[in-house]
Amino acid sequence: MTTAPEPDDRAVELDLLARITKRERAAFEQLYTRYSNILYATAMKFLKEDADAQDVVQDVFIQIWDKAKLYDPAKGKPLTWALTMTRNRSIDRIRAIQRRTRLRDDFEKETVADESAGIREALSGVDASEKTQILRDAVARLSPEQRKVIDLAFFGGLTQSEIADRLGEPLGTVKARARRGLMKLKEHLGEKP
Amino acid sequence: MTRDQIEELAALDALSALEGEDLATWERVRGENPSALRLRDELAGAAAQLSLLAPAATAPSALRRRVMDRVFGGQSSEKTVTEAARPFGFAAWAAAAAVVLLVLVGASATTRQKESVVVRDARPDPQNLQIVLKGYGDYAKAKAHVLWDSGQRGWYVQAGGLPDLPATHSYHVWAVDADGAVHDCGELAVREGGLARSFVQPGDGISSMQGFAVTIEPVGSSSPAPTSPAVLISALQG
Repeated sequence: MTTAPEPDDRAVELDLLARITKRERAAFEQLYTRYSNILYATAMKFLKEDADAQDVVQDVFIQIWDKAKLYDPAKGKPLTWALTMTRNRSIDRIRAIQRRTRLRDDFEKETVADESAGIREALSGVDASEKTQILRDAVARLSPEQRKVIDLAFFGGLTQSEIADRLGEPLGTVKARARRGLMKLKEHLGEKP
Repeated sequence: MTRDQIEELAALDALSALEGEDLATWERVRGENPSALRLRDELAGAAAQLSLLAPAATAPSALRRRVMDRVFGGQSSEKTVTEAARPFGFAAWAAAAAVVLLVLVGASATTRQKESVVVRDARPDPQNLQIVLKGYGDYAKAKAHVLWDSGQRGWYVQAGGLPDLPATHSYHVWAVDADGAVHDCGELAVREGGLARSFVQPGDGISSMQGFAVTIEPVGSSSPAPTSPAVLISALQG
């Protein structure tokens, strides 16, 4: 399981981002050292393929270099910002692959994770760090149905109607599960900007 | 709108799962309600932590070199972008785009309907239209396709046969709107084998495009318009 930088490191990372906005190469290289493994692991989790994951991580670091000044501390920690970019770019890539695959009538190669595979596999991992234990506990508090919906959206990149189709559930049910599940996660993880 | 409904929209947006009318409703709500946007950010932050459940992995050492080359420019590459490698001038592209524009504007209702399909949806239908970009000169073997995704409200750009560029330059996608104005659609990152995929979301200014082009730009350039001639430009196929 991925090990995140310690929470106390936030001030360091904020400083690095501030220096990156001033185009300090050393700061960028330090941030790369801190984040590259976790961002790569995240991209691999979504994309499964090394080449795709490397492309995404490269794009994210270029984005960090170009857009560091747009980072808003009020919206979350620097790591959360970087993870969100990694996740979003990975999902974009999954969806692009899906559509290209469909256009080729080659449905067998769809890159969507199977139902709840993402969270299920992650929960089976062994990790003793306090942060990831808290995260695992929070996920374990979700009902299986909530977990499945969040997993299909977060790790599978499916839209609300695609999830409803996949699960054979009414759209309203899917929406409610996403809301309750994510609100519960927020409550237990309690990330403050 | 009830609190539950706002939470629902915020949660689905935090998961990037919103679409259709719900997405339009959410955009209106978040514009009017700053607390809804804050909730969405908090939920997105909680969701982002799920990434930490990913199995540990070590980024390849080559990736570091690649990133540093892209950001700071490679010293090892002796390749340069020459004018000879840019046979199709921007002025020519603008003219070509204008021709595309005229063709589209003056087209029959049937053609306009087809164009509408192109820009609104990319369905898994082999008969469906897509925008094709053809390469010119040294880039004649390159080609690209652009598909509009109404769910994501952006364009998928897929390209092949793109020659490698020095680390100081990258391919860049541009769109021309119905008024002939040029819009920056971002970088087109090339991977092994000259293949490239990109998802671009233009600003609100272009709800329908009339043409696309790919140029070669300095890495990190923030120019609002192409600084070099186009190497691929769009044509409409049905």
